[in-house]
Formats: sequence, C-alpha cells, structure tokens
Amino acid sequence: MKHVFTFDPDRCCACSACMIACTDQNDINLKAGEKCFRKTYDTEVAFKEGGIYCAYLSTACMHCEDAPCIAACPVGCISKDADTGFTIYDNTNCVGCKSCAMACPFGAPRYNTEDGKMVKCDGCYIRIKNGMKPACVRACSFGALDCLTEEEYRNSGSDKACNVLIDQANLRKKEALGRWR
Amino acid sequence: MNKIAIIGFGAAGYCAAAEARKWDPDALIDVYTDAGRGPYNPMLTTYYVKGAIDYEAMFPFGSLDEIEERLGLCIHRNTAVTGLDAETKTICLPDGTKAAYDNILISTGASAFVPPIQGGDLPGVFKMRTAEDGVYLKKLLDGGKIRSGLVVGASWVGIKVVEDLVEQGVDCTLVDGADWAFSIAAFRQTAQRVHRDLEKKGIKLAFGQMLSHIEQEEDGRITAVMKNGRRFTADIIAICIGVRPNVAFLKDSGIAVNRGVLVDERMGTNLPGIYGAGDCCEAYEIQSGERKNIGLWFNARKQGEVAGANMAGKRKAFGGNALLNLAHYLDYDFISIGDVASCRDEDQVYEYEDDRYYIRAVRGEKLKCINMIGTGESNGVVKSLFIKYFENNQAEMDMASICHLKENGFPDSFIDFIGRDQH
Amino acid sequence: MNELEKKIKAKIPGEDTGIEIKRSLCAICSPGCHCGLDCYVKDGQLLKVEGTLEHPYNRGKLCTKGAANRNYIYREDRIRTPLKRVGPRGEGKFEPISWDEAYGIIAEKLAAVKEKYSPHSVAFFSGYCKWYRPILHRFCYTFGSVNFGTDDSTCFKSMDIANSLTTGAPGGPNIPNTNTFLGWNYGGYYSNHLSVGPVRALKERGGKVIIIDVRYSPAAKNFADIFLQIRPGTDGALALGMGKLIIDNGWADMDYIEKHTYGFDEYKELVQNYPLDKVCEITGLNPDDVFEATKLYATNGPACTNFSASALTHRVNGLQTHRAIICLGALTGNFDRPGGNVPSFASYIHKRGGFTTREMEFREEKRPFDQLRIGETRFPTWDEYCDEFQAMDLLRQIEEGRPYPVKAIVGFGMNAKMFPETDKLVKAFDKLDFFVDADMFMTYTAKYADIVLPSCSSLERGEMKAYEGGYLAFTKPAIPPLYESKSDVDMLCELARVMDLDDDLLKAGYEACCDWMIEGNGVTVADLKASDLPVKIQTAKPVVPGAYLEKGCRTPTGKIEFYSKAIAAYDPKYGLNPLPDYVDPLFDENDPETKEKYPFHMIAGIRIPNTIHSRVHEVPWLRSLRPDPLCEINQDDAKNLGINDGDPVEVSSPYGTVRLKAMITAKLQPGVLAMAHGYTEANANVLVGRDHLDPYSGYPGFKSLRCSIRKY
Ligand SMILES: Cc1cc2nc3c(=O)[nH]c(=O)nc-3n(C[C@H](O)[C@H](O)[C@H](O)COP(=O)(O)OP(=O)(O)OC[C@H]3O[C@@H](n4cnc5c(N)ncnc54)[C@H](O)[C@@H]3O)c2cc1C
Ligand code: SF4
Ligand code: SF4
Repeated sequence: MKHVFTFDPDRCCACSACMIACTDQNDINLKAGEKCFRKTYDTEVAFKEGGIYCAYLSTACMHCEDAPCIAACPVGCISKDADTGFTIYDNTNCVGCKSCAMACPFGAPRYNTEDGKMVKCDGCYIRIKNGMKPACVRACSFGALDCLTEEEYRNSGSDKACNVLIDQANLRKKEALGRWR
Repeated sequence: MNKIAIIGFGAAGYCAAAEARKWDPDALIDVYTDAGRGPYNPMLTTYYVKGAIDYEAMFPFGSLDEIEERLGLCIHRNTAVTGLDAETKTICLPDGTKAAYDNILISTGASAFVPPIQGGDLPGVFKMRTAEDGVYLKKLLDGGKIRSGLVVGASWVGIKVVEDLVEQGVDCTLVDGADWAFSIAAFRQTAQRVHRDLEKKGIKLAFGQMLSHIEQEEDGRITAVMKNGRRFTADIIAICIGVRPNVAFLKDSGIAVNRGVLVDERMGTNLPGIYGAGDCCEAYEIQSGERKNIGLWFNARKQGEVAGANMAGKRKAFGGNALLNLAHYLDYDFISIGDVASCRDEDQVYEYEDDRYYIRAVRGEKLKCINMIGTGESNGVVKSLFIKYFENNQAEMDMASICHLKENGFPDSFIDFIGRDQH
Repeated sequence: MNELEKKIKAKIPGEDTGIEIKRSLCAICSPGCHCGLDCYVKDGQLLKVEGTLEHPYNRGKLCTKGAANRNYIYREDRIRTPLKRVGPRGEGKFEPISWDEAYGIIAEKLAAVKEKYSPHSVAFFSGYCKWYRPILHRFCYTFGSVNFGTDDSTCFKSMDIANSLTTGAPGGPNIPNTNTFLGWNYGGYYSNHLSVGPVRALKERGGKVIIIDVRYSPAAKNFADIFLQIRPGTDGALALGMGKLIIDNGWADMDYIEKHTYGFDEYKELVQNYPLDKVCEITGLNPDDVFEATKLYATNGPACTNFSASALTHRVNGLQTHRAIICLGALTGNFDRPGGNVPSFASYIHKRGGFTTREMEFREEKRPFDQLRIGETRFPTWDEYCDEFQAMDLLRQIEEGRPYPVKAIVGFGMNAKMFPETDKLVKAFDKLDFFVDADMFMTYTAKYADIVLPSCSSLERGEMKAYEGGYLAFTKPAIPPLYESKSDVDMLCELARVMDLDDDLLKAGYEACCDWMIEGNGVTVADLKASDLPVKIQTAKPVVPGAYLEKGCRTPTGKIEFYSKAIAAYDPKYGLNPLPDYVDPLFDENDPETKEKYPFHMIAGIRIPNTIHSRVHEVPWLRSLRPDPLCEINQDDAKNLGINDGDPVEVSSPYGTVRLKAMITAKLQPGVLAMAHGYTEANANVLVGRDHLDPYSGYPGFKSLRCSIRKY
C-alpha cells in the first residue's frame, strides 16, 4: 500500500519529539557525529515588506514520487520500496560522492562522518509493513506529522502531503508577528 | 510491433531500454554495444582504483546477461554501429549489414579526449573514462612501484585521479593549460581557495601549461613537455583534458549535430523516430535557453528514461537542466551552478567565507552563477532554488529551503542575494 | 540483510524478533503528567520507547523529553552503587559502599543529630520526581521532625494557595464546553503537551482563543484570535483593568456575584484605580486589543482561563496576580459552571481521579507539632495552606541557626539549583553535620552530600499512580533496576526497618502502604498489578459543574472571596492586602541606581522543548537539540548592544553573573531577556536574590528580575 507523509505547519511547534523518536528508532549515534534523519526548524523569517514569520517545521526525506536521488546515485544505492513507495537505500556500495545530496531539493541525505556513507530517512517502511506508523509520526503529539495510505490521503481532502507542501511562504505572511505589534 | 534500436549501452542506453520496456512489453528492443560487458559508470572508475568499491560495483545495473534476461532485450555485443541512414531509420553494422527500426536512440556517450601528440601512447600515459582505464591504473598503483604522478587537466576527472594518487601516497603534480583549476566552472577567487586546499594536501600545482608532447626518460620515467618548454617528469601521466561526444559515425546522416546530437525536450532529434540521450547529446539548458552538452550521470539516466518513454509512445519531457559541476575530492566538495562564463566585471558579486564554507555568487539582471565549497549536504537545496528561479522567478522562496539554509549556516545575506527579485 | 534481520533492526515486536512491549510510565516531568509508556524490551535491554496508545491519560502521546527515556535511563553517569564522599563537598570524589553500610551510616548520623539537637534539626527534602512523597513525608514525621519540604516551595503551590484563598478549590479550565479560552500565560506546547489537543478542538469548532504571554509562542501563533504580548509581571494590572471594563460595561454577572461572592464592593472600588489607559501604560498593551479581549472573554458565553502552575506566580506579586485573574471568573460567573473553570480535588499526588484515597491521612498521621517549621513565621499564608516548610527560608536558617539549627538534610532528588543564590546555599551545606541525597545521577547537588544513594528510574520500578477519569495504576518494572540502584520507596522502607522507626506500616513496605491508602475503593495493589493498564475505579465520580458552589466554597465565608478574610486575619505586621491589588514585579529592585545598572527585565526559567528544570540537561539526545545555554534577547536590543546570534554574553544581576550564548529573536519584546533554568554552567538562579520573594507565598521572583547583558 503506497503511503504519504503529511505535515501541517499550523500544528507544529518544533518541539522535536519527532527527532528524538527518529534517533531512538534508528540508533543514531550523535556522539559519533551522526545526524538524525529528521530535522526541525524554529526559525524567524523576516519579510521584505516588514513582519516576521515564525516558522516551525519538521522535515525529512519527502519520499518524492519521482525521487531524483535514485537516478543521481552512481552505484544504485537508492530505490523505491514497492509496497510503501518510500525511498529506501542500501549503502553497502556508497562511495560518499554526495550526488544524492545534490539531487535532493530538501537536503535529506546525511553523511556519517565515520564511514563517509550516506544515510537517510527510509520512512520506517519496515514498521509500516508491520502495521505501525513511522517513529516520528508516532511521537508527534500535535498531529502535525502524519503518514497515511494513499487512499486515506485522498479521502482526507488534505493538501498537506509533504512533497507538495513546498511553496507556502506567501500564504503565511498574514500570520506574521507584525500583526500584534 | 514497435521495433526499437539503442546504440550505445551506458546509463542513458540502459535507462532508455528499461523505460521503453516498462511502457511497451511487446516492443522488440535491440541493443548495440561496442563492449562485451554491461553498462558501467565512468565516474566510479577512480573509486574502484582506490578500493572504495569492487569491480562489479562499477556496473550498477548488472551484467549484460542479467539485463538481457530482466528486460527482454536482444543485445548485440561487441558491435559498434558504423553509420545511420536517418531517412530509412536504418543502422549500419560493422559486418556491412543493415537493420531498420521504428525508433532509434543514439546513446553513445563520450570518450576521453587524448590529442594526437608524440608520446601519447607511451606506457604509463593513460586517460580515465572506461572500466578498463580504471583497471589499468589500479594495477599500476597496486604494483607499489609508482612514486610520482602527473595529472594533466585540473578538472572533474583529473581531480579524481589526483585523489587516487594522493591516497596511495604518490607524489602528485597537477597542471592545466588554463589559469586556474576548474576553469570552466570556477571563479578565479573560488579556485584560489581550491588551490590552497590542494596545496595543503601536498599537491604541486602549475597553471598556464599547455601540453606539447611526452618523452621517455632513460630511468624509465616519462616527461610531459609543455609548449612553453617546462618539463614535468613522473612515473605516470594522466591525460584528463576533456571528453568528446561519440558522434563521428553520424556524419552525413542528416541528424543535426553540434558538439553533440541536438535534441528537444522529448529527446527527439531533428528527424522523427530518432532520439539522443546522455553524454553524446545537447539538450536545452534552463538559464540560456540554448542547447548544451552537460555530461552528468543523472542527466544520462533521466534523458535515457525520457527517450525510452517517448519511443514507447509515452509523452515525457526532460526539464530543469542547469549547468552543474560537482566535484567531491579529498574531504572537499565544490559545486558550481550556472554559467560562470556569462559573468561580467560589472555584475554584482556576493562573497562569503568561513572555516566551513566558501560561497561566491554573481548576478547581472538575473542570477548567473553560484560557486560553493564545503556545502555538500545543502547543494541540492541551492541547486533546486536556482532551477526554480529560472523556471519562475516570480515564485516565492519556500519556507523549508529558507529554514534549511539558515540552520546550515548560510548567511541571511546569501539567501537574500539569491532570492532578491523573489520577495 | 534478510527479512528477520530487517525486522530486528526496525525493532518490530514479536516472537520472531524476541522484542516485547512492556508497559511503564514516564516520570521525567511533574506528577501532574506521567504519560503511559510502551517499552520495547529485548533480553532485559530497553530498545525504544513509545507512548501507550491504550493509556487513558496520554493516548499514545509523549513529549520530547519522554521520547528520550532510553537515553535518559542509560545515561553513562548513572550512579551505580551507594557512595560515600571522600573529597571535599562539591568536588565529586566518592567511594562505593554497600547498601548495609550506607543504611548504617545514615541511621547513626541522623540519630546523632536528633540526640545532640532535636529531630527537627533534620530537614527532609524532596525534589523531583514526587512519586515517593507520601512515604518520605510519613518517614519524616515518624522520625519526629516537623521539617518536611519539597520543591513545592517554588512550584505550583502558590497558585494553589491563591485558589484556596479565593475560591477554596483549584479550578481547571473546562475547554470541551467553553466558547472562549483565555490562555493566560498559556504555552502548552513545551510545558503540557496534552493540553494542546483540547485547545485545537475548540478552535476547530469555532471557539475563540486569547493568548496573554511575554513571548510570541507557538500557541500564540497557532491559536490566538487575540494575542496580548504583555510586559513581564504586569498581568495583575491587566486583570484588574479587565475587571473594571467588565463592571463598567455591564458585562458582569450580577446575579452570580450576589449569590456566590464576597467583597465585591471593595473589589469594585479597587479596580477604579485601573482605567484602561493606565493599564496599557503599565502593561505596554494596545487599548483596543485589551478592550476586544475583555469583551470577547466576558460576552461570548462560557469562558475558561488557563491557570499556569508557575509562570505567573514566580514573581514577587505572583499570588495576588493569580487572585486577580481568578476574580475575573467570579465577575463573569465562569467559576464552577460548564465551559468555565470547574473545581475538582486531587485523589493521589496531585492527580484528580474523582475518587478519594487516604493519602493525606497517611502523610499526617504521625505529624509532630512541637516545633515551628522552617519559614513558618515568615510566610503565614504559606504555612496555613501547605503542610510543608517553606524552603526559601532554609538558607537563612542554616546560616543563622535561628530559631533552631538545621544540621542534617535527607534529600531525595534534591536540586540546589532551584534555590535563589544557589552558590550561597551549597556553601551553607558546610554547616551541616550530615547530608544524604538519593538520585539517579551525580548531580551538582549530590556532589555536596556525604552519602549518595542510587535511585532507579520509573522504568525499573513499580509505582502507584492515579489518572484523570477515575483511573488508578500500579506499574511493574519494564527492566530490572540498573546496577545496584533501587526504588526510592524501598530505600525508605528498608531504612525505617534499620532505624527501627515506630511505624509498622512503613516497615511493611511500599505496597502495604499503598493498600492502606487506597482502602475503601474496592481494589488492592494486587488487583492493580494484574493489569498492564490503569484500572477504572468503581468509586470514582465525574465532576458535576455547579455542585461545588451549591455546597459552599471552602473559604472562610463559604463564598468566592474578592476580599480574602483569611488574609485579613493575619497580623498587620506582615502588610498583606486582602484585596488582589497589583504591585510592581520589581518593586524591591527599582531604586534608580539598580535600575540604571540593570536595565533589562529577565525571565529566568522559560520553557524550551528539550528541558525540564535541571533534569534532562545532561541527556545527550535532548542536549543536542540546543547544545548551549542561551539567553534570548530582542533583535533590536541586540543590535544596539552589538550582540550577534551565538555571541558569548555575560548576564549579571546584583546577586550574580552567568555566562552563556545570545539567541536573537523577535519573539521577545525589547527590554526583556529570557533564559531556561537548571543549567549547572549557567544557573539562572544565581541571578535571583534570596529575598526577592513573594511575601504571601514565599515564591522567588524567578520570572521578573533586573539584569544587565553584555558581550564578553
Ligand atoms: C572520471 C569521471 C568522473 C565523473 N564524475 C561524475 C560526477 O561526479 N557526477 C556526474 O554526474 N557525472 C560524472 N561523470 C560523468 C558521467 O559518468 C557520464 O555523464 C555518464 O556516465 C554518461 O552516460 P552515457 O550513457 O551518456 O555515456 P557512456 O557511459 O559513455 O556510455 C556510452 C556507451 O556507448 C558506447 N558506444 C560509443 N559509440 C558506440 C557505437 N558507435 N556503437 C555502440 N556503442 C557505442 C561506449 O563505448 C559506451 O559504452 C564522470 C565521468 C568520469 C569519466
Ligand atoms: S532523498 Fe531527497 S530526493 Fe530522494 S526521495 Fe528523499 S526528499 Fe526526494
Ligand atoms: S553519496 Fe552514496 S548514496 Fe549518495 S549518490 Fe553517492 S554513492 Fe549514492
């Protein structure tokens, strides 16, 4: 069953429970310099015409439908899981060339300093296959992150699929902090 | 039944075959390759040399037999196509026979260019493109007798050969005819930082050195003699001064060829039913709106896919093609996005440097070129912003990209510079 | 990797993978929470945690800290054995000893202090986590000391006292039935994650939200229909100004006031001093916004108010501020009605289960009355409403030895960093004959102890816990205690045996104590243990709005008291005001010289997602989210001072200095600084003066003090 990650920026507060859950699930060794696959942002963006937008975001691999990283990798590390449609990888042959990072519009691939190999979010596809939600989704207390089957997504009428939720700055201007000052 | 011929079986050829098979299970797909082994990835040769991967890993799609079986192809091994009659969509084979098809893909790639100079065939002189080139260098280096190496050509291939040599402890000199490294993509200032980085690793550099010929020394070493008379002596010499698309066999075929085969968005040539993809072609580039030969693995795969789909009757287009150069070498990475040659003295320049990053960007009326060193994990974000900018410069820069760049230590002034006429 | 290996790597529970889910609870934050935890365990090792979906309290949810439980319990610096100090206090040199030896030393030293001075010279003190408090409390009293104290001296209780003084009962916001949520100091996201869902649901059904905060918080961004970014500590003035608007505009519920309140006329007179323009001058707010917010609150049907446990009361005007806010509910008839603030009482350790236990009897049964408690004569309100000593007077009493000396401390998770002028307190520890502390980690405070006992985490023990909705649970260990660590209650009960205290119940052990406390509810500990999830208690009754007022308030007049009769009864020498008047939050630091030297208003102790007090600063996963202690500063102020984001800065007050890094933000107003508390290397509370205290509650003004900042 194909799955879709959704994200609702109006529910997020960058509490980063998702990052902790990802770290817990994937045994990310922060001490060795490894980085969590998911990244949250609590960032203030100033608009040219005044006002500040306080962005709270959580991003990881968007599991692009036509994932450019797959074609970019010279050794074929990255592929699609046929079931979930998630972008998964086997980095045995990874040469650490960062071609995948150059292809990815979201900065999702990470490099372990120790072996120089790429790692990234695999959508917890094994959990999904076993009837569970991805670890980060499970940890989101506020319903900002979710992972739905394609069918659930269509029925939900949501427009918050991660891989389409990109050009939003405009919409959000009205919420800029300037309104209260 | 749709009869498809694919000439040349690299990444472009393979992806075209796979995609055509996906959409047309019944098509007859004939593949012509001048090699006897599966499609390989030229950029992996130097990784094979340094032992980062096995020999087999250079062939990411498997062996010819496996592929033939998996995709239901008919592969003609060791069969270099010698000519093409576009009118009748017929190809000529080395044994003089001909075969006609409904659709033909030209995916013959490019070859490393070695000028016809005296001494160019001396033992120890080599190039770096094919799996065989990789095997050759690896044997030499594994032999343990190589003490010094000279690399002619400070560009993407040359720098990878330098990396192989340095990691083996071989004393290494890098020379180039231009005034600085990566001259077709790097600003002089960017190159200065590159030079500093390379020299820190003990690499000797010399620029403005045009290769004249190569001489054999009595002690068995070889010497590259420059047009200015300077001599560089080493155990081995790599010649990495560029590639040439393999299009000679298309002479008089009626197919429009510049440096490479000229194609449209659907990878079609000027003649119906004939397509081009990969290093042998020139596709539309987003910044200039003109056709350019941009030899990248990703492009070869994507263009092959697009050609394959179109040959199977699907409409698919190749877009978002920008001038890109990425070099990952010796703990550094350098990326150039856009056309450095289009930059003028009167343009606005943005420059930023800290211990991690070097960034230099230029804009005239529009954004022109961005050079970055050390920004590896963020390269895709910047590249994609650059492409979006040219696709629609009214579009807002998206929040996720802004956040990513800010959090990864890109200064606000840079975000401002590249997003200037956006908001 | 084959399929099974992939499943093991993905930590999928099942027979094939050998991974089992065991149920426990997270005890990282306050006992008002304690979410149900699914522990993924293999061979006695914890592999991962998740919130328990079937748990009636958290329904699968966890906060950032809770999600880090694995990293928390496996911290490398867990204390492994009982320890005896061998170096000077604070240096951190200890040697391992056996449990028997440790108990022996404790028994001997405590007996010696009791002998030489009196049992009251031993102060028992509990920090987090509060779960063992009934046992420690009873232990203290059985031992014979009046001095049982806790971190309640700076947490939650001030609000509780204000409630008791005004309505006689704590009243939580009844969001599901309200039309308007007055989110006074409501952060939610970083402090009480489960509170966010109901507010969102309110918004989704068209309800209105007003947020009043000093920071433009996620709650303000995501929920506020009206956001009032108030000057720190001026909330009392705002509440009184709103009161005036409500009365002047005829929005007050006069029938309700008539029937259920006391002292309205005096209150009405008081608020005449707070006209809108003056209020806006004090609070820095826009008069239109204040008017609109007040109108919305008072005229949009049922409205409820967020009562923040600490944010408002950590100011020297805090208790009265809270009273002033409660008064708005009385004016509009929103106290004890559906959609307003509905009173309910705790069943067991702060949790309101709708049933009663004998927790209080258990704690009080052995209480001695033969001495004054620490702080008793200094904070009469505190003493009347809290059965503990006010620890903000502990430092003075250790130093001065008056009215009697304090010579020993029995600490459980004691945190010296919660005390103003922390540095002075730890120095005063030198005057003690004996200090024992139980903790999971070798904390800043534990380093000053003579004996340190290794506690285990909630995942390694069984504990009793009540939950909202009529539930009671008794957990089982998900993994065995690490090293030689033990459950705090087992230490206490074993110690009771070693010391042969006159208390058979304590000596019978924790489970027997629990059985005694829950008797009459139709369940036993054994029944509770038979279930992996909280058990529904048959005696539990749902809260019926209106029932409390019907019966009459637990105040001297039986009514909601605008004018507090209890306060009026205290000796005038304390200078306490029965009306909830406003005073400046910096009234004791406003002399011209201090004002000039320390021009910034510091909020020491803001909530950030990855910390809770001092408890998880050293948990690597959580620390990685914000590696450095940060002082938040408004972007314009920073510009004026030439401070860039990430610059090292020195923040000073008349009492101390901390060094940390600057975080530049637009979310704070100019003139305001904010930092999280509890860091050892940048302890916010060294900036707080020991006498910068609320005269009613004794609470320190953590969140309103004068500071300066400079780049160093
Ligand atoms: C050292 C090195 C480093 C590189 N680094 C990078 C990098 O970092 N990133 C990146 O994106 N790209 C890199 N590249 C470029 C990338 O490898 C190529 O762009 C890509 O492989 C081109 O694929 P292709 O299928 O078009 O051509 P090829 O792989 O060249 O395949 C064409 C095939 O056709 C065969 N052929 C030619 N003529 C005929 C004929 N007449 N009949 C039959 N067969 C014929 C050729 O022998 C060859 O096997 C690098 C290349 C090299 C050499
Ligand atoms: S790594 Fe990047 S490009 Fe690849 S699927 Fe994920 S988001 Fe898309
Ligand atoms: S870094 Fe590894 S995974 Fe990414 S493209 Fe290079 S080889 Fe592939």
